[in-house]
Amino acid sequence: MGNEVIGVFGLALLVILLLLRVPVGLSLIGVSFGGVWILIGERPAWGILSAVPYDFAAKWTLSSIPMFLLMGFVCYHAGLTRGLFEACRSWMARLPGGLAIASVIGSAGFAAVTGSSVACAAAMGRIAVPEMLRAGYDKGLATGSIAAAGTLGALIPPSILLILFGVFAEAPIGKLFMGGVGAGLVTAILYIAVIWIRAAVDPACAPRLSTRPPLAERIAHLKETWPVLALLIVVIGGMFVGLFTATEAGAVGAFASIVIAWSKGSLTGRAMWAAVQETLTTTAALFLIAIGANLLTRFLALSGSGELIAQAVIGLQADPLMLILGISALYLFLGMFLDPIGAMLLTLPVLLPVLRAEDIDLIWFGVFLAKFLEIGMITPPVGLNVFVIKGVVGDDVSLTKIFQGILWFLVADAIAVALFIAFPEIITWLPELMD
Amino acid sequence: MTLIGRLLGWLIVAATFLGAAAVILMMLQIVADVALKNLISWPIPLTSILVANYYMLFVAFAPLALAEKLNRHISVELVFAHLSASWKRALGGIVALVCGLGCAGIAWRLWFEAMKKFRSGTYIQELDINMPTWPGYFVLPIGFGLFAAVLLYRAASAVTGISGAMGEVPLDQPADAAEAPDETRGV
Repeated sequence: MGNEVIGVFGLALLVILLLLRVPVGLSLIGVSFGGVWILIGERPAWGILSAVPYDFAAKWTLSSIPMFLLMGFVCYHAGLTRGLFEACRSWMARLPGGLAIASVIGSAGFAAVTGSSVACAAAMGRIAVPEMLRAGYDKGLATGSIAAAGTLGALIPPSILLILFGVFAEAPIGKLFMGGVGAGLVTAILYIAVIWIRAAVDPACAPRLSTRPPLAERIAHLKETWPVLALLIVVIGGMFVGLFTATEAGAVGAFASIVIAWSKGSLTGRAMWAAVQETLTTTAALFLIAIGANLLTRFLALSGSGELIAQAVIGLQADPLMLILGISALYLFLGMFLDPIGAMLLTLPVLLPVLRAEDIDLIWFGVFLAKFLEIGMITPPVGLNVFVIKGVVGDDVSLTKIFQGILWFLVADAIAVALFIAFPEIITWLPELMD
Repeated sequence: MTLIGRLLGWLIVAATFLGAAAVILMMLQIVADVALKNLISWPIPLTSILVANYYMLFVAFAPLALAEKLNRHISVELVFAHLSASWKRALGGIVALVCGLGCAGIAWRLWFEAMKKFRSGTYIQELDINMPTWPGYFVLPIGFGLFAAVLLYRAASAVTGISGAMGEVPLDQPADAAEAPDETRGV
């Protein structure tokens, strides 16, 4: 049996283990360890297994992951983002679909303090969905807009997906973050356009509020957005002007969010403990997968099957556009079933050699990939953001109804993806500005 | 069985406290380092070593068991979600047993690695300071060992039907279903 065949068998076994509900990280570790053992023997297999977990985790750059997670969880548990939605709501009230538009803007703001799409959907979902349902919004629009807007969480920096991509692809994380800004804003604008058009065409789906708060009240609401604005300026501003690196930005952001929450009096001991505990479990779960993916990279490299698949792909299509479309189709499919981190780390070992051979800009690709993985968060049958929203609304709105509401936003996503391919500058201009 | 569950519960709390301390200390030290670097051009020595070789290890490995207890490790629910309760228990038990044994193997191996680093007194040199890094290696076998124990406890729970002593979330109850949002999945 050729080494490449062992590699391909390993990948098949991996899929079986995943379907048996073996945790993704342990599946990756088990298959890679067994594969290396068969390929080059017992001693090197144990050697790799005892070295990789430490070598992978003991990294300065990766410290930004728990730090950005902590920042997001503190903001969430201390309710720092509540003011943001209130302000958007009072200012957008008279627009067609104003509440839904306010939710998208609120989500974009929350995305700037969290790296997670699910956290974003959960935070905004709890505040905005009940409000929209009370105002008589179409159930699909109310839930779909929040599930879709949640995906901004992983595009607008900070983004855990982009940090992990940067580490695996050896691409600068600061530039990936800046690339995410363009992609996130274009996505948000398209989502707002979708809501606007829908509400204009069918006013019954988003009844306009008859009154809007007086100016003084609106200005008062605006003042309540300061925690998020302050964090935004500290984290993204400080990183952009070079006061600190993208890695250090996480710790600065976490610290700033704690100080702000404490000064507002909204940081209880219970909220802080919940934030820290969720930071720890999330980090441990992510690192287990990342260590497994690191081992899989070694196994595939040793077997030569990664190279074989890469060569097959390169030989198949010389046209980079076709390649990108092929990769898009792959991620669209994987995203329907897999968790985004899992989908990304499972495929990068095979894809990176292809991307390098085709000379595709890794900053652009990283953000593009994050966009596709996030589309996977709102497509059936496994759309994690949709499940989170379902958890918020309970039996009031069916899963089918939420997915129906999302269809409109998928059209916006398709336009966004086409724009990113046709005008890569949307993603690359900010990172290039950093040079 | 209940006693073992309670004991594991306590060990997980202890590991969580260590992880929590590491998260907070890491944040404070990086912030202080950034501030001093920008204000008086005097970075705190050994910051990157402490972050990478101490704090990060506690943050990444000490909570492995807590994540398992709370059912926060990421797995694919595609097939599992459609199984009957008894199949879920059977498959969940077998998977927990195999994973538990696997993790115990990893922990055992990482313990040898840690002892090796301890004996050789592994250190990193920065600015004429020899900073020992061997203690950090011990976090890994402890983290994986506790993770293995929780998995084996889960396997035993599937056989005996006794569960809950550790305060664990049942296997067939995804955290998504709980009222709190499950931020661990899908970042």
